[in-house]
Amino acid sequence: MKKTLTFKTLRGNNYLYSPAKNQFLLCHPIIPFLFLFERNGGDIDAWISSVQKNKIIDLPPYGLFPLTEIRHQRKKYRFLKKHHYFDSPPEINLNSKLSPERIIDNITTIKQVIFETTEDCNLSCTYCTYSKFYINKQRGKKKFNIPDAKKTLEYILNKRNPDHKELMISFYGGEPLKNFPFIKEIVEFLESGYKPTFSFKYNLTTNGLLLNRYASFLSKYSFDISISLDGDEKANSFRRLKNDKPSFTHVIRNTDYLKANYPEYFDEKVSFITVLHNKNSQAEVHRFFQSRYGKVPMVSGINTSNVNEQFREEFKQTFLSGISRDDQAPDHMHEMFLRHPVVREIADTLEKYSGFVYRSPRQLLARGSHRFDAKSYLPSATCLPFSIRVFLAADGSILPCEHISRIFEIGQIKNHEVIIDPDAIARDFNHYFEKIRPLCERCYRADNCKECVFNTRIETGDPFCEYFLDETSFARYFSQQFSTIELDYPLYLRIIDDAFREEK
Amino acid sequence: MLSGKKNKKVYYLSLDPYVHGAISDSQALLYNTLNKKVLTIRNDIGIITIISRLLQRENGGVIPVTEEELNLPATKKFIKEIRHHFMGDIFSSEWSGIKPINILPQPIIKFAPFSLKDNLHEITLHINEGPDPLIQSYQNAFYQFLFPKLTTGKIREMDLTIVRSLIKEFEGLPGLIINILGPSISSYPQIVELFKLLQKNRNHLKIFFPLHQIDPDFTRHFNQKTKLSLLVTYPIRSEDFQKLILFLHENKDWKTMEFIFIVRDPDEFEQSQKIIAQLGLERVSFKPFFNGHNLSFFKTHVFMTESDILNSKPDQKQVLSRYLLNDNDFGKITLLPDGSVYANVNDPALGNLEETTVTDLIKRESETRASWSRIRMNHEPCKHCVYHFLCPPVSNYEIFLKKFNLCHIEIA
Repeated sequence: MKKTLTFKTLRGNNYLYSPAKNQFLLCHPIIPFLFLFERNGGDIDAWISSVQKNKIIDLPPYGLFPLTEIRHQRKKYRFLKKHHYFDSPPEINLNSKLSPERIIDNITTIKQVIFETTEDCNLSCTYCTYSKFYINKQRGKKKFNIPDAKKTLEYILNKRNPDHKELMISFYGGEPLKNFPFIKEIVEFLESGYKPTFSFKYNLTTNGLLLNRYASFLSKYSFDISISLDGDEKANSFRRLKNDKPSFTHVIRNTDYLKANYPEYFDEKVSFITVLHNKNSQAEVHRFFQSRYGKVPMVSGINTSNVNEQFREEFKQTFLSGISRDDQAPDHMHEMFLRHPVVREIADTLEKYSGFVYRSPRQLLARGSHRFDAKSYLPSATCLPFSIRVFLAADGSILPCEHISRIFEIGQIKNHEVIIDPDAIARDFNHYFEKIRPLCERCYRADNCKECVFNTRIETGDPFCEYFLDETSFARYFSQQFSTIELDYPLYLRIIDDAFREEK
Repeated sequence: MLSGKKNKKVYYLSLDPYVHGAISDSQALLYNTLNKKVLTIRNDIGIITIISRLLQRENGGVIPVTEEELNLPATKKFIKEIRHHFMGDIFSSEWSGIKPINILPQPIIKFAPFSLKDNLHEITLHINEGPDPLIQSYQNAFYQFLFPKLTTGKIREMDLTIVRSLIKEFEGLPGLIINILGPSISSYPQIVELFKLLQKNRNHLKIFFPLHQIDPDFTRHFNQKTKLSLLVTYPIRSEDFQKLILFLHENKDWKTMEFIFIVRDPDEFEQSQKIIAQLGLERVSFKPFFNGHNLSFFKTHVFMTESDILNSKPDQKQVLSRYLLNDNDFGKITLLPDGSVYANVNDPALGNLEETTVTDLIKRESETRASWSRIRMNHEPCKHCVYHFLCPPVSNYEIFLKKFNLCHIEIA
């Protein structure tokens, strides 16, 4: 049962969050004291009666207060209690099940098909998910078989709901441009065989080493290109060539070439993906890309799921120790605004927990304030199979997405046949959900989860969720955000003004 | 009241986020949405200034006050009252190294791609319009509440293809409320098919009949979700009254019927009450009708007094919704026989179904919200009134009368 929680900011102000009211309240320090006193079995009236009149009472760590003030705050506490600030709301129901029919339906409306064009890569990055630091199948140099790729596309397009005309085709690796003939053939196959019934968008995630060679083809078909680059030379130093030399100058040369020769295309279609670690920081990365290319990169933390236990310590030492804190600077948060993780988290908290952000006008006009309806939900924030994308690996494995370990295969392409068994997939997913559910049911953020079940070491039978928040950690989570807002109220005002509008 | 420690002579005064407020030149009002307590300050510039600072968004409901200010008798009294009504509190700066904050009680509707489901829940179909000599003097009632559209020309019927396309567009939506009106509903040429179409999709139908047109036979078209509303206008002919008695006698379900008494003066109001008592009617409501000559009746019986407003005691969600939306109009559209579509019949048409679809027109209104967001805060004189967020949403009467304050409040 989720309870009201009180929290104190870094500078010492007290607040409470009421899940029943879905509202935050700035409160007098005595309120959390009384709340916790009563929650721990204390009798407030008996305690107050036992206190001598005119006495100043020390309530560590809350402070010294006269009895009259304590009496007033008792009234306020009771007032809030009467108005349900300390009630526990109905629990979110996480007992939903994934049905095979849903999977079949998802296949007909899938948004993105991702090909692992080749397993081969011309880089040997220290933090690669195929390095010693991660549990994953060994990878060779397999290339995606072209007839199999065409068969799979036929399978998907033949089942496609005609109302869903647009499909995104993505090329991933290894380094996808190491198998350029595959990309070329698939694009031409779709362009000549399935247009105009369907329309296709293409994208590619590349390390940039071969960009100059294929720029003309990529621009012709308006590929969205995401170049993996972690910032300047030092920041990019985990990204290394096969001979262990830094890749930075090569990538920069090719990127500059693209910018110089295809300027409009570069402006519109080229973006950067940056991994944050201890050799860069949000602020540095942001400055680098802004000044050099006028762009803001997509930033993500280093992948901490599926880390090989044998190398966990070394992993932490290599990539995480001494991570820069310059990202918390207010100027930087204003500059990056919603691209900054702290700002995004605050916006998310305001949306889900302030009680003042509504999904629709109807929600605002509807009576009642409970956030959870009687509907049942699936635990975690896992994308359902084929609901958004599918990852087709060069070795024939079909996976929910490119970030998921090969052990969670949801089908195969074998002997030129696409093998997808919706019953088996539903059974497997429901099994994973069953395993994670007890953890989710205890999590204060279960209704606003950000984690995929496949990142929770579900295969070990003892799931662990990095985003799990119990009462204490949920209070700490709010405390951090309120501490930021206390320091920078204009940032909060900007968030409520701009974060929930349509993105232009 | 405060910490016993030696203070540094700075305190923070805070307003709780369930408290809403407004100020005018010489008045301020604070309203606690939990216990519905109202604190009104008149002609005390010092306190009005404090409330004004508390309500400024950049202050976020928390302002610093010095010990000197705190010790002023008026301020002391004000803070005592705020604390007494659980509207806010006073915090010593010694308790923390920084000004505390509040999450502003400001409603935000998150952007989402347009969805018909989120923007439509009631449609009013005027399936015909034309003259009706018996109620012709009520011609302007159409602009004030749900009433048939009366014209002096020939009867004009809504083409059934309009209804067919509507039903197709709204397929899959949860049940809508559909109001059917017209001066001559039972003579609509394709009435059987019309009902068949409209009773699909779990819709809730409400048929509005003027009393003199009551037709016992007509209810055979109804399903369980179809309700009848009788519009009672004056004078009531004795044959219509007899017809009504017969109808109530023969119709077992009459208790589900709604009786809407349309009154223009105290006499008609009194007569209505007699009829209600005589016939034992249960589901009744009154609609005052402004005929251009009865403003005094409106002033006495319709205009709100300060105590009417305070007694309405809206909860916080109602208050919040009044900052953004007009609950009387939001999600409702009206279609006339010529295919024109209105978000409010007192405003220009959103468009005509000959040129576009209802979905497109609703989308247009959901973007511009010209009618659906008609809120007091944007209109004279209400925007200067401290009660603006406690008052019910702007009504059709006000739009029709072009007078946005059907009340007895003197704006200070």
